[in-house]
Amino acid sequence: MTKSPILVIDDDKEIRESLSEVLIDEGYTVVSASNGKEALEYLKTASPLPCMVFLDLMMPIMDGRSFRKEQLLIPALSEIPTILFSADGQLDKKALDIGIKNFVKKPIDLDELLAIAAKYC
Amino acid sequence: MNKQDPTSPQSKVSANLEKAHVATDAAEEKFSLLVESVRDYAIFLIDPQGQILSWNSGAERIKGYTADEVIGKHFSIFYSDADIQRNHPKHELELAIKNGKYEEEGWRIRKNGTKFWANVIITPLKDKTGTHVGFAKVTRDLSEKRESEERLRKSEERLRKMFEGIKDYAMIMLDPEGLVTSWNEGARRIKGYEANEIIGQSFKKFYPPQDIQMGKCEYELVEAAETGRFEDEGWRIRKDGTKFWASVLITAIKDENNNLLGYSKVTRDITDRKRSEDLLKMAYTNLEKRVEERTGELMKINDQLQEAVRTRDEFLSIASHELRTPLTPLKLQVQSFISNIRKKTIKEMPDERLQRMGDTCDRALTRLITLIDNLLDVSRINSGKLNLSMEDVNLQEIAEEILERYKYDIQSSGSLVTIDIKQPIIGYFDRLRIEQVFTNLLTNALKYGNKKPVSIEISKERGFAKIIFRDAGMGISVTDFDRIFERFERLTDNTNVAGLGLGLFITKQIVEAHGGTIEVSSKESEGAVFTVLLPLEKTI
Repeated sequence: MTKSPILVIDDDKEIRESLSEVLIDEGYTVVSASNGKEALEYLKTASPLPCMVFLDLMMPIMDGRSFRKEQLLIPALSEIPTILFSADGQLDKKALDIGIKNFVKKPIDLDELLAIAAKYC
Repeated sequence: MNKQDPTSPQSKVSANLEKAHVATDAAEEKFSLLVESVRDYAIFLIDPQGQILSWNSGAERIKGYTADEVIGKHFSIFYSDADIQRNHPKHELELAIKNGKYEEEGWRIRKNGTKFWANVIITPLKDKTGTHVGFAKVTRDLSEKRESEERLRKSEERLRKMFEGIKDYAMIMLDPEGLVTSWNEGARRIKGYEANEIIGQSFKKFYPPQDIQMGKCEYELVEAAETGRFEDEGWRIRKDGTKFWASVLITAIKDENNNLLGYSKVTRDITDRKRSEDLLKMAYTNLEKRVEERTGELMKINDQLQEAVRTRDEFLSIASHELRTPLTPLKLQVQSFISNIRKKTIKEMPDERLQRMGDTCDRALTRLITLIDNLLDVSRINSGKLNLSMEDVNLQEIAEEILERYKYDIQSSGSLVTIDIKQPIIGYFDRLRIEQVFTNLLTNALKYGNKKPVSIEISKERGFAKIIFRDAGMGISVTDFDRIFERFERLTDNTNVAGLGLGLFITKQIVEAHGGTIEVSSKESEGAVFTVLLPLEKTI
């Protein structure tokens, strides 16, 4: 059985690549998507499902909020631990709005990132 | 009747009278007694020549003589020397005979020489045959009445003089119909009419025509008659036609039976007061109006300030977001580098991995620098310090340099970018600023280009360099054409596209500083076309 990947959903290519690189360095598998729609399409057929999701808020085509709505509609997906990961100034409030307990404000410390990954994967 | 000497002329008359009154009965006797006892009237008889024939107690009381002292004397003893000299007593008798009666009031003399004011009635007496037999004379002492009348007259005179002399108040009397019956100095001064011009005229003359038409004058008199008084302030007209502001009090004058005798009317000219009141009122109204206007202005300014604060807050929040985004890969890469050094694993890292690490950091830093430069540019533009250093610039070179510089962004955007230029075009521009124009329009096209081709067309047109950036992306709606060139503006209906919203604002400022123009045309979801015109001649 293949290892569950970490799903990174962010429209910024640099962020996606940097996140992937440092996680891969630590032995994780990473899948990335540049918006919510891409992520949902991946999740439809993903096997195994990701062990956790880093979710950006502001993205074209489908933003973090819309992705979260869709995610919660599918029981299997709704159980995946999801961390809101954004540079938004009101991240705490926005996380609460879409039913996400855990959030990290950009930029993130490498140690913190690895601690989160270790916790869920 | 008094005792008489039968030989005296009086006794002759008396005898004749007695003859005439042969039929005197008991009633007549009683009447004589009555006359004699009347104390308030001097009643006595005199013969045709004026000799006194009888005397009653009233005569004694009023004139001071007893019957003994006076009977048989001529009645002129009661008259002053002046009256006697002008033959007044005799004249009275003649008039009494002529008119059947004589009545007068005048001064008479008492026995003690003092004067009294007398009412005198002299009636000629005839016997049954019509023969003139003498006179009945009835005298009353009116001294007291006269004195009080005199006092009253003097008091009235004083009042009248006072009333006439008052200068600051027009005090006039009106009859029940409103005709002027008296006029004082104040009325003359205030209204301008002399007494002889106005007495007998209607008081309506003092009112403006519209008041007369409305029936105001009649109303005032009715009101005064019914309630006792009428008070008013209003415009009145002087003889010369000028207006004055009057304070008016009309009082009804009635007799003891409540019959209307007329009106007193007191008028003051308070034009000066009215004028200052009006000025004050006007000043107050103006002040209120200005306060209102100023309040409106301040509220507007307040709204603008609030809007400015809101825009700035929003901008700061976007700026923070935009600065934090490139910091994320920068921080991760740098911390990963440090971690590998600490774990002594750095030497095991492949060269490509290290290269990517460095490149990522470099690009993140470039993004940060660009953002900071944009912020500084806005600050310069705001303070009017966007200075240009002009030189000859080849636009083709610029376009190619920018494409080279942004090849990584072009690649990652998924759009294919082409340059279309037919001839070399060299203009006199600020090189760095024109590079910024190209950069901003290119990154804008890539950001909104939706992975579709972007073309840059450069041509010459009537002394202008024409630079067109054409994309096939999401496009811009007509209503946003002006707005996108404003500060901090992004297409806010799509908050999911990152950016400070300064690029197009700065671009427009740079183009305009060069004497050029920038325009956008677009159809939504069919892409946008930005057209820049820059003058090729040295206009600045």
